[in-house]
Amino acid sequence: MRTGGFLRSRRPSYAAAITVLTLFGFGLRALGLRWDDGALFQPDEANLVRAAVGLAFPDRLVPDFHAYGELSLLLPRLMAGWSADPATVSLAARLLSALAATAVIPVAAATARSLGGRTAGALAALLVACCSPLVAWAHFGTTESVLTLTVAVLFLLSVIHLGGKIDLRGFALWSGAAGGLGLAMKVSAAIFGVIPAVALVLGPRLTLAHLRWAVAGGALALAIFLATNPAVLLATGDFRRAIVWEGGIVRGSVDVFWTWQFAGAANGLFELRQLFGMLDGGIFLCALGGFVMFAWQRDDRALPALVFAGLYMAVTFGWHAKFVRYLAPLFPVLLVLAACFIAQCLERLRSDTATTLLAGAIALFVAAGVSRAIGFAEADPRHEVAAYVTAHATGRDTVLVEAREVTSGRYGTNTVGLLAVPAQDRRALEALADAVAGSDWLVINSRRHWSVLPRLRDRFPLMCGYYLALFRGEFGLAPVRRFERDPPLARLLRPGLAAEATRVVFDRPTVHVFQRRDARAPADILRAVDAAVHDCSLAAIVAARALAP
Amino acid sequence: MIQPAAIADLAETARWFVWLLAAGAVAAPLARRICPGSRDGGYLLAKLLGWLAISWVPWMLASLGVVSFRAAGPAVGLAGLAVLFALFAGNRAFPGWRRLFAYEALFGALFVAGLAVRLAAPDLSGLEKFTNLGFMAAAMRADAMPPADMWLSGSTVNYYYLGHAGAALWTSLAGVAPDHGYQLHMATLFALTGIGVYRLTTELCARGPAAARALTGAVAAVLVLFAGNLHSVIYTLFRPWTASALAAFKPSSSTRFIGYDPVTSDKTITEFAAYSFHVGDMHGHVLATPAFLACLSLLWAVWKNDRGGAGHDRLCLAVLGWTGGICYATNAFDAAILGLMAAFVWSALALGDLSARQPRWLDRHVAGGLLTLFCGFAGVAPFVASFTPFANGVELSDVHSPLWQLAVLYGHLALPLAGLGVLIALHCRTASPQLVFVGLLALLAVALIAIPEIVYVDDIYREEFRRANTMFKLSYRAQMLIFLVSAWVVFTLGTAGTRFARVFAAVAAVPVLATLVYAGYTARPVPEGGYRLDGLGFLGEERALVDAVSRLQLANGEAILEASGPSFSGNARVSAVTGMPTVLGWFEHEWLWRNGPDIPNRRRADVDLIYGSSDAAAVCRLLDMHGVRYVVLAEREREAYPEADFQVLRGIGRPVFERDGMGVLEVDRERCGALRTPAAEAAPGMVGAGG
Repeated sequence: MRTGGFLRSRRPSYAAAITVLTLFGFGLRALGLRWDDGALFQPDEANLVRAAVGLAFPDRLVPDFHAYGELSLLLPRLMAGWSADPATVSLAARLLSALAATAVIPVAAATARSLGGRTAGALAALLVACCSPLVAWAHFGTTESVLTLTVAVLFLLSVIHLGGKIDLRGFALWSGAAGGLGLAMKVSAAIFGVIPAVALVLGPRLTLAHLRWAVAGGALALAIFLATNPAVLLATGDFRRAIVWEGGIVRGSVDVFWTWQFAGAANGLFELRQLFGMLDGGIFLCALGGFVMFAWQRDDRALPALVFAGLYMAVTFGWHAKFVRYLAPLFPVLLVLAACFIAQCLERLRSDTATTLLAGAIALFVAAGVSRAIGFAEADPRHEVAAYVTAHATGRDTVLVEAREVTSGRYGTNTVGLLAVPAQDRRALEALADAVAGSDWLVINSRRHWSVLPRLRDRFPLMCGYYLALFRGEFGLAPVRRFERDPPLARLLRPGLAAEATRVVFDRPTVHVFQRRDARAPADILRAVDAAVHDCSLAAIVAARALAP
Repeated sequence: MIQPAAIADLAETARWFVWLLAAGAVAAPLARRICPGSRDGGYLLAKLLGWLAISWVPWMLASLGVVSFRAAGPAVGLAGLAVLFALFAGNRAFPGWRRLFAYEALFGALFVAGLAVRLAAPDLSGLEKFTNLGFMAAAMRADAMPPADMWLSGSTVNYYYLGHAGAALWTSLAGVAPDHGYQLHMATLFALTGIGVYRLTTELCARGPAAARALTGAVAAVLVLFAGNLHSVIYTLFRPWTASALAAFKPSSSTRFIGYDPVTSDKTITEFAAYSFHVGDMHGHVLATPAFLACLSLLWAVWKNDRGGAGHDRLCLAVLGWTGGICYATNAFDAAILGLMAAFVWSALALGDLSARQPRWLDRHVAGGLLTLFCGFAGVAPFVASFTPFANGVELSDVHSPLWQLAVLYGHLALPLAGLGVLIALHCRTASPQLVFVGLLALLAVALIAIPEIVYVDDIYREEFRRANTMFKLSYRAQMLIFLVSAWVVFTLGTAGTRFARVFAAVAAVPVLATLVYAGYTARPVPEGGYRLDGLGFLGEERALVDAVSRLQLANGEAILEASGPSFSGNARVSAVTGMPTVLGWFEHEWLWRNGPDIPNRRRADVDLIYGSSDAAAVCRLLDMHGVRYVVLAEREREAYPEADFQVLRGIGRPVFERDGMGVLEVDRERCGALRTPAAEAAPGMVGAGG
């Protein structure tokens, strides 16, 4: 079995460059790993950590939470020394994510080097190291980073297999092991099997002996999955129900507030727009260029990843839920393609203009990633707002919070209430108006509702007017402060309202604080909503919000 | 006997000047590297670049949150210059002792002259001086960039503030008070503007005796710094024959002509450098002038290098982009003007290559342009990230200046332009690089005069002032270019072989030189007590109050409160002088900076309520809302609120300064907190979900 030599180069300068970039990438991923001060603001991570903390040895090794593979619960728990402290487990999960996301760097570099030479390899390392979404996912104790690493490894294995540098046995077993680990983390990783499958088909003519190794690889993956996910066998019903429920959210048949943002989104276009934004435009175009280049060159070595990417997009782009984390497995493929394309351009075009443009695109991409990483070292705006309100409130004030993400303990001795939005009908709005009228402070923790509900006029006819009147200060509550996690150049690189909400609401939301200026009766508030609702639009809310401090 | 204060002023001035010399000397190797073959070896350009670089480095790092602008700015600036020197130390830039002495003597003379112009009327009140001093003082107090807006507490400056941050850095570096820094920086701008014009003019004067070149450069500099426009000539020397409706000529008359004399519904501004220095205006267009002139010098270097067959020098392009970016963050119109000039230069270069069938000409020039743009953007990316533009697009001009008024303003360009046209016609196939470049500068000047007749930028200036700002910013540069082009044409024709050319040069020089008559109207006598750096004499009895406030400490997010007022009033003076944020300063200025009246309207209502209300709870709520820690009660406040007795404020504040009926109160948070009633108790119907 031959696998050595692909992560190492005989050229010390190249190896040193990849090492430096890997360390740099790790630095970006490890910076501000406790960005929420243990508050578990990332809801997927919070679910995962809660389930992990619920595990007990030897009595309770099968969790009651099956949205993620059990390995994603066990590993952080083990890394945390089997601690039951959520903050410790969360930190361990994030460290695992950061390490996996770091490992993608040399793996992608090796893949790109095999496909396009040393320049491509170094570029791939740079792009992966500084990729803003990969940096962000590394800060969440979820499975995106591991899944990304799985795809990167499978891609590398397929490239070196098709290049004749690893035999079928090695290829099948390593792919089985990598795929099995991915599957153990998340069942949806099953689709990654497309990469080795296509590589098998494209590889040397299959014999029965070859097929045997292929089956062995698949069996190894399945064995790893089952060994680390006993719930599949021991709690089949729960497991199936969780998968069905998750599937319902993905397809849109289960109504949850966090998928309301996708109402009216065009399949495919929405996702491509997100990819364009997340890859800062230029690198996305380079990745598309790489797609076309490899297809044009009929380079079989890249074909498994191209088929996977195409199939993955075909499947996921049709889903109702369009969270950007679903796009994570595409990133190693896209970045390797982009790196190969750029290297090819530099080598063949010999154009000053092309070189300058590509350098500009890379510089912007790197700046975005570094800026994102620095942002995690800044104070979390939800904690900042709690400190601000506590410092300015009387201690007897009532603080209403929309989307309660900070524990009330952080608001001192003030009374903290969760604002019951959205109000679907008049009666609910009346209750909301009562609460607002009795509040001294109102905190909006993210754009989850105000940027989404106004578009859903049929379902929430009054909420547009509610937010417009609120931002205009017509509830007697004056907008007094806005808190943001502001890394350098944030305004240049922060996604706009067209961006999928989770690109900002988890780790870098904009938090608005309103302070009571004049007393208002609930009836006044209702009148203000009724008056605002007529000429209301999201644009009007954005304009009113722009005037808020 | 010289007073001790005057000696202290001299020491501060000397310290400032030494830093200026050092910054120029340290940047000299870089200037030499990017301007090979220039007569001064880049030494004069280095003065402009060093002055920019020393403040840009700490500004950039403070914007990125790496260092504190207030605490570490000067040290970081010096370290940045040291790195710059180390990087380019191999490019020896010593121009020889004789030249060096001459250059420094010229610079020193200009600096002294600029200081005399400024200190002849040293008070920092009137026109935009409060704004400029406020930006400077706010930057000096700031850790991060952009600095806090001294006239809208809780917000950062939303204006082209980079030049003011530079002035603040220089003030900190020299260790002088903000008002002294203002005066010294104005003198610096005066000297750098003169040096910039001198350098560009002498660089463009290719042939002829060295003395004539130097004289031409000096005359061009003097014209830019002291002369008016043709209006200044006609409406002074020939006033009886004009139809002026104004009683007498004032220095501002030549800057407020179209729309004012005679009065029409299209009021415009045609200011020029001499007027700016006369009134001591340190606004963006004045602050950006040295950078603008440096950009023109660099564009000339780009042009000369390429036409000389050396192609594009990437470092030169990068520095050009960086300097252009600084112009954008200091005075946005300059970026547009330089963009237009760069487009002229690049187009001419590309056309030349095309006709000469140069290989890969398009690729080369597009790459050069892109590199310049990228460097420009990268150099001021933090500014772009923090700034919200307040222009609402470009509108077609529906009113136009009468041709006779344009002729009155710019007629002195006619003969030099004609001479230039003849030169181009005679040498159209063998035109020297200098001739073509000056032709492009003349084209730019004419375009800048013509553009406001076609389009204008839509900002908050409305109705009869809608074209005013656009014409102001464009004609400001056009008038500078007119002197430059005129000086070059007169020099070139004057040193030509033919008698006709020399006679034409002499005739063309007459109206241009006649504009120096303007200096007779701006000259001021030496102030009683001599020249002093103190710029706060206008405060009178309030000076002690302002001094007391400046010694108070404000935590992040805290503010002072004083009477706000309309733009150009004497209100908001404490925040302007100290840089401490107040709830609202000049109303119309915030209207412009916040792109609408909503925010300043709300703030004005709050300030009125705090000073005028008898409801202590409401006042406390607003004081808390705006983070007010200190409240100013003095003559301005009594004038603004004649009905108020301020008893509520006195009841909730503790005096930290009192003298002659003036006072500063510190808000007693505990007393205020006790007065405030939670809304849950005040309003019925609360649905409280316990936390």
